[in-house]
Amino acid sequence: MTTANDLYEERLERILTAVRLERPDRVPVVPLGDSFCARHQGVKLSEFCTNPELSNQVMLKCFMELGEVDGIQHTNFYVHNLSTAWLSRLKIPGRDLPEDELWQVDEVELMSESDYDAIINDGFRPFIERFYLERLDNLGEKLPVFFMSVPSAMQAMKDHGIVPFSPAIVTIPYELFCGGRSMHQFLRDLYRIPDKVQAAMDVAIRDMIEDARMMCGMIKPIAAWVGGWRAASEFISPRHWQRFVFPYYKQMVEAVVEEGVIAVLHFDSDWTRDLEYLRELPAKRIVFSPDGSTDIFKAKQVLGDHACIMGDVPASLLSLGTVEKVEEYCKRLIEEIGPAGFILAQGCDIPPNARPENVAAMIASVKKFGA
Amino acid sequence: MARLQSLIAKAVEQIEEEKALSLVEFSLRSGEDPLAVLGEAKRGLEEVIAKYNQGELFLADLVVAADIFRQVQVRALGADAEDERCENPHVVFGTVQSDIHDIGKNITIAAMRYYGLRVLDLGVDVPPRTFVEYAGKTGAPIVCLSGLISDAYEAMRKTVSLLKRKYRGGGPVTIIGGLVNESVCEYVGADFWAKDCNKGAELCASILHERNLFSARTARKDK
Repeated sequence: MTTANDLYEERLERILTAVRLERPDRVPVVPLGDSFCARHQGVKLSEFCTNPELSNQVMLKCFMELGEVDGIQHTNFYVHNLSTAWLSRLKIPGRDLPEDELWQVDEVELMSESDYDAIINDGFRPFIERFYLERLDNLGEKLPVFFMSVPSAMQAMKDHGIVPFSPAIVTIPYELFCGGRSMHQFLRDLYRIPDKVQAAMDVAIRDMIEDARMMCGMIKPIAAWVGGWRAASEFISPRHWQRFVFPYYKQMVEAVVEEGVIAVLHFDSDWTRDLEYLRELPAKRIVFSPDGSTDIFKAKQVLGDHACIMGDVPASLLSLGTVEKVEEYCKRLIEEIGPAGFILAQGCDIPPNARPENVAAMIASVKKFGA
Repeated sequence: MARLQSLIAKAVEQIEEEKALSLVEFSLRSGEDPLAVLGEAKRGLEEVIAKYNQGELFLADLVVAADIFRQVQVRALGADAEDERCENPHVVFGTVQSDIHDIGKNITIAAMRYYGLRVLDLGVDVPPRTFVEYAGKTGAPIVCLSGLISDAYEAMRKTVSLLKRKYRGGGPVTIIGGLVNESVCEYVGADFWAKDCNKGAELCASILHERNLFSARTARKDK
C-alpha cells in the first residue's frame, strides 16, 4: 500500500529530477493559488488572509479536490507578508475592504529620500525596524504568527504526500525601495541620485542576505522564491538593470543556493531581454518562473541547459478560457518546454476568479500529456 | 540662442533633469519666448518617445523624461499649465471598481496630456455607474478603464455593458488597459485594449484624429 510518505518521496524526486534538468517519469505540477483556493472553498478572503493556519488547510483541501498535485508552491498565506516585500501599506479585506474583496498593495510614498541616508549611515536593520514600527503600523509585531505557522503547515502538506515546495520568499533592495518610495519617485531617484541609491542597496543587501540565510536555516525549505516584480527588464534600461538589479539578484540567489535551497526566480512582467544574464546563476539549482509576460519559449532556448523552467499558464486563460484552451496550452508547454527540466504551473498565482474546471484541467494535463 | 535651445532638447533627450531645468531657467531669464523654449523641450521628449517606441529606451526613461517636460511646462507657461484639463475632456479615465492600482493609469494620463489630450481622471476603485455618469455629463468621446487584478475584468465588463446599454451600442469608444489581452477585451466587450502606456495614449490620439475631434500635434502650441 502506498503511504503518504511514499507519495511524498516519489513527488519530491519528480520535482528534483526536473530541477536537475533530467527527465522525470512525468512532468511535475506545482501550482499556487492563494485567493483562488479561498474562493473555491467558500472561505472569506478576510479570514483566509489573516489566519495562516486556516489558509494552509484551505490550500490543501482545494488542490486535493482539484486533482493530484506534486507540490504546492506556498504552504500558507499571510497578507502582512506583502508589506515586507514592498514596504507598503495594504488594503485588507474585512478591515479596509468588504470581507470578500481581494487584498491590494496601497502604494504611496512612505519612504523619503533621507531614508537612503539613514540606511547608509545607521544600517539597514535599524531603519527597517523603525519603518515597520512607525510607518507600517508595527508590522514587526504581526509577523511572528506567520513564521511560527510555517513548520506545521509544511508538515501538514507532507502528511498528505504533497511537497511544500517554496514556502520562503526573499527579494532584493530594488523591490523594497521601489515600493517604499512609490514607483514614480523611485525611478526618478535612479536618475537623480543613483550613487546614493546604490550605496543604500549595498548596505541593505548584506542584512537581507543574512536574514535569508537565517530563514533558510530555520525553515529548511526545498526551495525559496527570490521574487522580482518591478525590477523586470521591461521597465528599465539595460544600464540601470545591470547596476541596480542583477548584481543583487546574483548575490541573493548564490546565498540561497549555498544554504542548500533551490532558488525559484519568481519573476513577474517581462524579463526576456536579460535572460542571458541568468546563465551566471548556479546551474541546475535554480527554477525560472515567469508569469506569462516573459517569452517562456525564448527562456527555454536561452536557459534550457542551465535552469529548470516553471510555468506559465496565464491568469486570463484560467479565468476566461475553456478547458480545451487550457489543455492545448499545457500540452504545448509540456512538449516544447518539457518534458525534461520543466515544472507545470500557472503564471504567478492562480487568480481568484479562475474557473475550477480550468485549474483541474491544468493539473490533469501532466498525466494526459506529460508522461 | 538657437544653440542654447538645442541644448535644452538634448538635455531632455538624454534625461538630464538638472541640466535641462537650469538651461530652461536661464533661457527664460534671458527673455526667450517661453513657447519656443517649451517647443525645444518637446522636441527632446519626442526623441525619447521615438526611442521608447523602437525599444531603445524603457518605461523608466519615458516617465522621467515626461516629468522633466512637465516641469519645463510649469516654468515656461506657469502653474496653469498643470491644469487637470477636465473641462470638455477627450477622455474619461479611471481604475475600475475593486482595484486601486494607479501607476499605469497615471503614466498613461501623463502621456495623453503630453499629446494634448484633455483627460478627466476619476481616480481608482471607480464604480461602473460613475464612469457612465461622467461619460454622460462630459460627452467625452473615449472612456478608458484600467485594471491590474483579474477581479477587474468583471468591473470592466459591467462598466462597458452599462455604457453600451445607455448609448444603445453607440456612445464613447471604450479602451481597457493594464492586465489585459485580446481575450479579456473580448470578454469585457470593450472596443480596444492596450498594455503599453504610450501606445494607449497614441491610440486615443489617433481615434480623435479619425473623428476630426482633435489636432494633437498642434494642441500644445495653441495654448
